Amino acid sequence: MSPHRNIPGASGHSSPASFCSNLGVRRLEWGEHPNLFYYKEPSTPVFELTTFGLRVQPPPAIPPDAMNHILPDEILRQTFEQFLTPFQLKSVRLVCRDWNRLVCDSAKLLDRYRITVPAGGDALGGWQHVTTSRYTTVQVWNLTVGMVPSVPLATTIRILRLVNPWITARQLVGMLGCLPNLVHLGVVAVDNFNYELYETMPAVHLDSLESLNLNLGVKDEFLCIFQGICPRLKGLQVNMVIKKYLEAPYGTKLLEFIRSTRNTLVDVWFNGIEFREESLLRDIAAIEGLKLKDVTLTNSFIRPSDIVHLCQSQTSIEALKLPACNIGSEILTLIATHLPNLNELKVQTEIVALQHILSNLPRLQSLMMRYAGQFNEILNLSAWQNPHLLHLNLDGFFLTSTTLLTFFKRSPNIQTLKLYFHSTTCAYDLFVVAGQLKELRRLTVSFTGLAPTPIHFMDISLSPFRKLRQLEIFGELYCDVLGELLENCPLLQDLNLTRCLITDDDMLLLVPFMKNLTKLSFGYLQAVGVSSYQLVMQRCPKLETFTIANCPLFGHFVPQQSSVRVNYQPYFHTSY
Amino acid sequence: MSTIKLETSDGVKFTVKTQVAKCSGTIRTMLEDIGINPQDGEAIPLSNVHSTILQKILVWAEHHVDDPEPPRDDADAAKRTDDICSWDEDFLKVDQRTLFDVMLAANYLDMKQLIAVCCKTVANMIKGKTADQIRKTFNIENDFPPGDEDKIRLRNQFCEERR
Repeated sequence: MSPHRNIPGASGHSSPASFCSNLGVRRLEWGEHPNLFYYKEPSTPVFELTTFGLRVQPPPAIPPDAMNHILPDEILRQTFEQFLTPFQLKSVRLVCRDWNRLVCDSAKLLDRYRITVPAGGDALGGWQHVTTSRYTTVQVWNLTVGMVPSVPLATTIRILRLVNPWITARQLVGMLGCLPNLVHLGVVAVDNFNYELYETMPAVHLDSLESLNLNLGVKDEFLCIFQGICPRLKGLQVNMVIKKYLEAPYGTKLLEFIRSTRNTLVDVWFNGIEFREESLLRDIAAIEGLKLKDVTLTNSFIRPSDIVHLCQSQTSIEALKLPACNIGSEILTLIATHLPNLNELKVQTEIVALQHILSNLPRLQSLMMRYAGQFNEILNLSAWQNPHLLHLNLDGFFLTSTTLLTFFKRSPNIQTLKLYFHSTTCAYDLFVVAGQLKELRRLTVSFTGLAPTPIHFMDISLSPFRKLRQLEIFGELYCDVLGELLENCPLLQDLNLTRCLITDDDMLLLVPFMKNLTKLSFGYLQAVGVSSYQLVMQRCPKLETFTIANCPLFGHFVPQQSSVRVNYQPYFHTSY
Repeated sequence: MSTIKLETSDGVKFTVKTQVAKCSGTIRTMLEDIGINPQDGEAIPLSNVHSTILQKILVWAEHHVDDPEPPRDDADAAKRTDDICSWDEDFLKVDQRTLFDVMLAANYLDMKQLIAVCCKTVANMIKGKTADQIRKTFNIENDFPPGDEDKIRLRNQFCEERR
């Protein structure tokens, strides 16, 4: 029953009734309708005396008025804060002064943005804007002395990233000392700038600072300016080359820094630091009182004995990421034995006999493995059962759909699946198999080669991916499979199609399944051109970002003015 | 079945099931905390709500009276707006002025669920539009002094969504 239906029964010419009908509502009697939940009581209407006698006052005329004069700020604010994304709010800010003020005054909204002050940013008024507004995430390129002393930074800043600051360490520390809410700091240092690191630093304490991300290049001595002033530091990310000095052992400053923060530090990420010939990693692992939880070392070689030592001394490690380092089965077994709490593992390996080792890691939630072996051996995980596994990323392995099917049935809670595989498996089979994962939210499939591979599950239609939000396809997939796949992804928001074999005509068939997309990327699509772009712009009402990269038919394409952000990279011939 | 009376700004009196009326936080507070006794036959004055709007709101309240309390989530990320149920969607297919009046009244009556669904409707009217299209949709005047728009556009370029 429509809620707007007028219930019959009210009539008559008495003044209360005509009052009601004047208002467009009918007078109802109680009990007239069994499901009636309210009725209007005959009431004394408002009369006014005119020269023609008594007249019922008409309902107030509804003036056509601007929305922002009708709705109070609180309702508009609620709409903006709760239901619009930062991208949509950019248009909202341009509507009128009131709306711009509402967005700029909302700490909650500014918190969702990262504002960047570009090189030469002061000329654009960007720096002044940052210092006077309440952004919490700020990125400043090429900060110069002229910009610092004039105005103190907004104290709301929680996340600050300074790229190439051209100010001395003393000025930098002094500035940071004025930010009581700073939680995360990132600094990219300039190689050939003299930061005058030997000056006495102002006595400040960065009491709320929890994580420090330093990209120092050859300026490894820069680290010492933070020593002793970060009492709550939990995370340290360092990208630097450690210089060798004759008088001191390699990496003494880093070791001292970690020792000084050993009671709070749990998360370390090192890039560019050489552990090969030195005892540095062993010394760090052996620091008394240090209890690391999350360790990332990007080195391509780490001595196996150092890894063993790390696992033996730091048994609290929950996430171990050695993405570029080849790990053999012996070390993997030791990792599994010494780290009972391990829930995230990222390694490179040359072996495929992994089932037994992985079975010793019952808490594993996230696994990323890259195959670096020489032989075309098949990775078989069908005997591994892990209901806790949420994220799986397999790169370069040879897989078969039948063993994957058994594996997925035994590890059904996977939410993120990324597979970069060789053409031993047919993509269609893989989509059939991945359909077993009812919790899947993100799926990335990348495959190379057009070699004809047998389809095992040709007769089986795809099952729906009810929770899938993100889909990335890198490979020569035809329209028929793609169409069937997209048809089964009702909630898809983010789609990336790279190297797929689709044409403009195919897009006509595919676009009906893209109506919920907020993000779409085309890469290396050889037969898709501007007409597909126009089609997408017409038929995807929620689209916010559209990336087109290396599609030759687009030529000298210039996107039209619209609310969609279009990133266009023209085609360059590559070895693809 | 207990009922109470409500009187709108234009003097129309409504007799409403107490349970339905309690969808409004304002009325609930009046009944429970201030202790207005509905048996007195005295109507609760709702001086900010017109009868046409109250009638509409009561229809909504009756339909949603048995809805469970929504789960509280304080996530700061923007929430979905494509999950308006079809009944609500039909209910809010009204002219803008009525929609805004319903929002104002829901705000006065403190009906969080109704406000949320109205805000979602408004958000959907904003989504996917340029500033100019939004102004046209809502009949808003562009009151920026010359130059200010360009400044905001410039700043927008350097504002990115945090990941």
